[in-house]
Amino acid sequence: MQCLRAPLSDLSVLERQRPRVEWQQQGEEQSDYQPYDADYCMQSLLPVETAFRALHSCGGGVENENHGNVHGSNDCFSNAWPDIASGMHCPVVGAAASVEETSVNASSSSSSSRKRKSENTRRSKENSGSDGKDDINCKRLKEETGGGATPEAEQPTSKENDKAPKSDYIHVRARRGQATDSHSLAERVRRERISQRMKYLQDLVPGCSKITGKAGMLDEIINYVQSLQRQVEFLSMKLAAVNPIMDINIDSFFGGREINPTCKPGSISMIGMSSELLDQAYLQLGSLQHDMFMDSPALLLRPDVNPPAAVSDTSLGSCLNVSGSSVWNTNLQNVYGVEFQLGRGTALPFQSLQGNLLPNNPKMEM
Amino acid sequence: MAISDAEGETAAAKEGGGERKRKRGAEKPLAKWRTQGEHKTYSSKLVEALRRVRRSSPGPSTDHSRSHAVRAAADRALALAARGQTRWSRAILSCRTLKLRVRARARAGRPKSLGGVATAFASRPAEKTKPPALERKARVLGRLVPGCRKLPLATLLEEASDYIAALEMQVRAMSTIANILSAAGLQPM
Repeated sequence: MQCLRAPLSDLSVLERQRPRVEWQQQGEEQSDYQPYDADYCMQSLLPVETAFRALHSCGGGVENENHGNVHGSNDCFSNAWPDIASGMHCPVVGAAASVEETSVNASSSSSSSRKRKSENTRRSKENSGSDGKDDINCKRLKEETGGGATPEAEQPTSKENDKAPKSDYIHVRARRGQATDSHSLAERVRRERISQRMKYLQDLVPGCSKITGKAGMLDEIINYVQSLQRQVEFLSMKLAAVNPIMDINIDSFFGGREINPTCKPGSISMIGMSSELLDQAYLQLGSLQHDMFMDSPALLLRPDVNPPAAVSDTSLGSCLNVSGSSVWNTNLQNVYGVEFQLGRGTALPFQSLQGNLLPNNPKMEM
Repeated sequence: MAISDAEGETAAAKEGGGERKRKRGAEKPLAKWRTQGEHKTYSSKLVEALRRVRRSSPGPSTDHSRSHAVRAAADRALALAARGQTRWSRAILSCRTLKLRVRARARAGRPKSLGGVATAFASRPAEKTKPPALERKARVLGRLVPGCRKLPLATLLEEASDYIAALEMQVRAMSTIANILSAAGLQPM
């Protein structure tokens, strides 16, 4: 099996190796290196963040700016490989060794793809004094390459990886029985990223847990975004209609005070704000609006709080009192006093959009 | 929006145990847009914008222009709340005022041109149906999320998830404000 290559270009491995090696400080030129064994190929996928971080950090000396995880690690690895393959000392220190060991482990237990990061070549470049140890490691590794992995090989690897939580590179493990062609590995990396994000979106978009497959998921996502945008449109229309009610009192009404925790109608909290955030009073306030929103264009709204209590301004008043904000009371009264007629005049045509509202009006007038 | 109970519970759990990071990179948008702090920020910005809209268009102007203005203001406030870390927010902030007008005019002028284009499209479906089914949807999604056309799928999905979370917060905040205002207006003396 062929090892991982930078999917960047059609350069042969050799040609690609040359610039890498030159970049390497030791400057050991490998005229010919054994093609790596598939066993040597390993990369482990990282979560997205570290992937980006690795990219940036790895992009220092090499030209892999945003070509994806694969390239970064590949470049760094390619520095290591020739040395190991040729049997010369590993200027790339423990990193390479650990790489080898983990790759051996991969071969032995490669049915599972492990995702792991190791800070390999970068760290090794800075080290210059542990070459001897690495020679030993390299040699040991080469012996193990032929056979199976020894248990002791695993531990230094795991230790190595544990010690290096913050890696510069993304390593992807080639799975057993799958192509380790650079293109397919890059493809796999990309596909795994996409599926990660799809899974996340699945949690975000309601009703997507049953849907498998990217096409269906994308459809759901598109529908959801469209419905959200329509809701925003609708709410902006409503706000525009309701706006004239506001007068200068609104400035003190909202001024400096935060709106949402205080007056959050539970029925409108569609996104699962936990109910302990909701005050009882505001549940009543929510119930006031509950019927209004039943037939809103956002039909998917599901009121998830108390059934609407009888709507009366006394309850509303008690709501406000319970909220403990005297500002509310005074301002509301101001608003009622000044803008009531105007508000009713403009609000009513808007409410007629929402069929259920009309029955509420007589109640409210009481 | 149909939010199932499970969704609500998991969401609540996520809110409660925000430190639990299933997925480091993507957990953040969800938690970020659901915090009270974000809510506060957004609501105050929104109210400010609404006040400005009200002042800028005094008197009973046409509902359409006002609702458009409100919507634009709300989106801009949302993009501001995103603090410029996402593409869609930057796109909104950089070209929002242009977009709506242009799009409205383009839509008005487009029906005429569609007739001619339809014939060209008729020959296409044969070749274009199967392969880019996913791609087509990705393009559609890219058009929906502002500033995300022609993005690779992975980035697009990331932007979409953040955008969805932000939109949810926006809907919540706007509905709350609308409730307060309408409740305030409806209350009898």
